[in-house]
Amino acid sequence: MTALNAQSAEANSSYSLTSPYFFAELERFGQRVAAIEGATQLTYAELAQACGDFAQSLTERSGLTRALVFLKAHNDIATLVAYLACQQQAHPVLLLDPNISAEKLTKLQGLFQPNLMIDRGEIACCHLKQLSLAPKLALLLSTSGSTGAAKQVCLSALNLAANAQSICAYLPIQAQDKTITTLPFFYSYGLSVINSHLQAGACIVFNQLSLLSREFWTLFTTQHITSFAGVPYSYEMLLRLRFDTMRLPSLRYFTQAGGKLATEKVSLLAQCAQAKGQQFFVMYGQTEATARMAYLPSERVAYKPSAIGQAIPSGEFLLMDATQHTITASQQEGELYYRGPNVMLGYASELAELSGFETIDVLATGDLAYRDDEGDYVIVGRCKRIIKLFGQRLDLDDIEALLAEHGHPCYCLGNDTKLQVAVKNHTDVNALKTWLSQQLQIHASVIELKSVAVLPLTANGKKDYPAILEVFND
Amino acid sequence: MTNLEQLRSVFVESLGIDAAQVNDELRYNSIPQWDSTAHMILIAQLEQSFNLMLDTDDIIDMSSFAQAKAILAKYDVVFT
Repeated sequence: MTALNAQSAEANSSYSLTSPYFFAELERFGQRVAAIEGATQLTYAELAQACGDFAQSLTERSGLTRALVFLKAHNDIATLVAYLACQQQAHPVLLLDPNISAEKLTKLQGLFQPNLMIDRGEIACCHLKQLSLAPKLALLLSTSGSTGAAKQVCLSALNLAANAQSICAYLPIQAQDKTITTLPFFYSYGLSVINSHLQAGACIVFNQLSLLSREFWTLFTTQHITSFAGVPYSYEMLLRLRFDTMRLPSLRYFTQAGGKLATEKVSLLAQCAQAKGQQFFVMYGQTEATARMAYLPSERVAYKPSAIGQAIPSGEFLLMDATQHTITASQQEGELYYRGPNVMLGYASELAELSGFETIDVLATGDLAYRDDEGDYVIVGRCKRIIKLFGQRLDLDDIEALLAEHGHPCYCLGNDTKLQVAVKNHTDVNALKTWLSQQLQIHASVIELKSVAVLPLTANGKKDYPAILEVFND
Repeated sequence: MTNLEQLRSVFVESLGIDAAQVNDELRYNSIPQWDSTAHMILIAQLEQSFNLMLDTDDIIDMSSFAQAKAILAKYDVVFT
């Protein structure tokens, strides 16, 4: 890291934006429609008014200059208004999965002590003590909610605004566009779709229906949706639904991010887009970088389906070798680092950590990559113990901690197709597998769970994962 | 194994439920186990197990066990 720090003296603070932040001056888009939910339709002028009114209620309820807010993030207009009002008033917001269990919510409330709790526009006051909150803190997002880990990615308003503006610079988002929510509001990718469309003065159709429902596709065609976003799992579903034969004349482009989609599927989707005169963008990002870090333009997806493309406008990539030196040559693998105004403030697992952040100059993505001769990046592996199943990010260490907390010492391994758990001396592996599947909200078919007599250590006392891997390979 | 037994076993396996839970009233989203993820796994297993390829409408319409029998019948799978 030292080599990198020495290289760049300039910090993120030197970055400035040309347009107003996506949550500010909403009224400038006047009578354009901002949001649709069922029969309800809100123009930008009306949205600005609704946010003003909500901000007023927030002030009346708490009186605090800056309140820490927990917001249950449904894909609906009430959530949008609450989120924008909080951003306008600089109240930091933690976006919650609305289906969070009572147990996990209580744990998070204990750790962060929010002042206010908002659900579907209803404000509940928890306490009125002014908390020590870093001036830049605007948003807290969880990276892997299902393991119950409290760790949050902390973002500033500049992070959010800069990423929204970068996205608007490379995706063909127009003010006439109408997108539909296909991802959770509390997920960085889903949120980035909302932010970037507000930035462009475009329209968002709020929807909680599954891609697998007839109602979703009826809504899609009657609303003349022009774009949508999906994670690998969404596209696996879509391909199974014979997306190639679906008639969606209003659709102009679609995007994929949130993990690696199998190369042959990327190619299929690219062909499908080409045949219908649509565009298909493959993108790469992380919540730690607000959402987006790279994109592969539509015309290159077809012949280079395994690449993630190049850094988004205002961002840059660096590759580092094992000795922390920058790799300049192409075709050489190293760890991928990212620098840009969308790099998070930092992590926090409790209230005390929200009072201040040290500047992160470059973000270690935890991914291994190389740069090809055309300057496009290709991800080849991961150095962090993180897997993605059904679009959901799972930290293997968090899963070990979760099981240990419930009295099941274990080692976790896995890849993007399965999670492997070796539990010490467990008599009912099927029951434990069912329990874990419910806890993590992932289908049991991707969990392999075995009981082992010992959890082996290496000679220098580290967890011996290769030895456990052999147990699964036998 | 009869087609009906085969269909039941696909449901048991894909949804991760007991055989006793599989009846004509079993509906999509009526139990936590039959969510969109499980639905895709179910579709994949049905296609594999009965060696057929379901079209978009049939995948979306397959919202109950009874419905699954009706749809598969269109693909010449006979339930007696």
